Amino acid sequence: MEHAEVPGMNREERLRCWIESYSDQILRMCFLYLSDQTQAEDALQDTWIKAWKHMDDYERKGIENAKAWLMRIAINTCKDHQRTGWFRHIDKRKAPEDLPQQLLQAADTDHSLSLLVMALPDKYKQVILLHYYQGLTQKETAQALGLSPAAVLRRLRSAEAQLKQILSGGEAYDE
Amino acid sequence: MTNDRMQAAVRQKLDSELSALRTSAQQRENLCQNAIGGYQVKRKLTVGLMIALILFLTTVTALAMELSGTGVLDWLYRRDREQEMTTTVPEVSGATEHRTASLEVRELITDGYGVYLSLAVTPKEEGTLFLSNYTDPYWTKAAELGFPTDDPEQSIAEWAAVNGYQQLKEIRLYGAYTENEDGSATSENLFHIVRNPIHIESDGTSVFLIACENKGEGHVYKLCYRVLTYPDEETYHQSYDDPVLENAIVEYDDYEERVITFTVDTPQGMEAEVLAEYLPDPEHEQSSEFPQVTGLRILRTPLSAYYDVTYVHPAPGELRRYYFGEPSFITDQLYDRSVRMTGWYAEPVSGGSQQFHELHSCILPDPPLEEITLECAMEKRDPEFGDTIWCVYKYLPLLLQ
Repeated sequence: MEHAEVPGMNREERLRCWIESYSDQILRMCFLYLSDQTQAEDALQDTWIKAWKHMDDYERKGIENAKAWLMRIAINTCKDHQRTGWFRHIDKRKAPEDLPQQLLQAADTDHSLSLLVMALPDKYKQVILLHYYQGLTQKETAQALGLSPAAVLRRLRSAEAQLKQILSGGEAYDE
Repeated sequence: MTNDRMQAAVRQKLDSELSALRTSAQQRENLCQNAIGGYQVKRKLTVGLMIALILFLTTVTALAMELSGTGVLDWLYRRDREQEMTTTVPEVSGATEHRTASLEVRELITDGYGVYLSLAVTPKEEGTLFLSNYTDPYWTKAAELGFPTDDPEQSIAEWAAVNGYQQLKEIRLYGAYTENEDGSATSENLFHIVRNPIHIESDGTSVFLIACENKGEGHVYKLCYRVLTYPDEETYHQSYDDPVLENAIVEYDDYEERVITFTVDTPQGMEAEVLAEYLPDPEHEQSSEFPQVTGLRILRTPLSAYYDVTYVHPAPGELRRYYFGEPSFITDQLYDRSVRMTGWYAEPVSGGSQQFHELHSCILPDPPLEEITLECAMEKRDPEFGDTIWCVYKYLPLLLQ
């Protein structure tokens, strides 16, 4: 459930509001990006640390879409984590049984889309997570990734075919 | 299928699949407290100090030396006494001259697993200080990189200003790689550089300590670099989450890629002195709950000391769950000027598990150490409260040669 951000909130209140609203979304996005729950949790913490640290920028620039701003921080944090030596030992290709226990024990045990997203090359994964999963516009996605909107569009088109197959249970969607 | 429908379908399906992955109210409170109260500490964890295993090199003589006022860097610059120790001066070719600096590989050795080199970068313009990859000069503490300072909180930028450096540049060092069609990269040789120790010499030369995996005799190592200029603090931090601005900044200088190539002759490279070793000993029982150190060898050269720590994978399952990633290592010799370098690679061992290597460099004091102890510790996350706690779990004596 999203908590409404109220004008006039002080910084701490705003951060708390964001944390309540977006922590789960960011955690899941980081998990899909990093294919590791512990790393995703660390990335989530880092995201909030950066958000707090850069609250000045947020206020000064009059950023209107807080979610887009936060997702941009989160995806860049994931990229930072990828640069670490630790990340080189992670095999991003997950088998269903490699997923965290709490996912395996959940009511919905179909993880086909999650596994597909995790297995995608980073450049496709980024646009899918930001645009399709987090609902950023193509322009916001482009800004977050430092790409042109045309490049984002190309990547989305390339990844769409695989997504549609999963979403339709193996059959292609009608356009 | 429209774009909106596609978005909704993806969101619904992923949220459904990952519904069990969520934060508790207590976790969210911890996230908030950590963000507001502890971001500097947390940042240290994320950029290089995700410390799970710490190497303390301690000695009575080292402590006595420190108390007597002999600093670590005094040892570093005492080269005259060390001249009898021969090390390999490699044949280096490629772009050793840049518009802004001259580059020189001063040492190059291997212990069989790792290749260690020291790269001296001498600025051509007075008042310029070179740092290495992704070092935030406005945030990183000068003491953390081994800079001589009495103020543990002094940033590199503050240190530079006090010491007459008006311009900060970064030499971004990396191994050669090939970009694949799918966007991934295949590396020819990875160099471990980030947050390495940096030695600043009196003429402004920065000496970087670098390590990479030994690729065997005949391999041509390609060390690539680019040079960029750090902007002012405000611009630099604005760029932190802004890839467009970051790209603009890195292009601020002559951002052309340059390459230095060299080979490593193993027999010559072994001329460095083996200072100490750890070999598995049945008397040193190590719990399988924690990473088990299987070997350590410290090589000493005129410029530095290099070591390769090997360990087998930490405990799997739930215990593993609460630790911060894999172990890494730093050196801390009970001096404020601790320096370190971490590296990483793995090799398969019998039974299907993997043995990990950490490649490091550090500075050892002079006179030579009489006793060295490896202190193994992990930083773990408290599963109930989410904060971090230290856990020293083993002391291992090293064999001095």
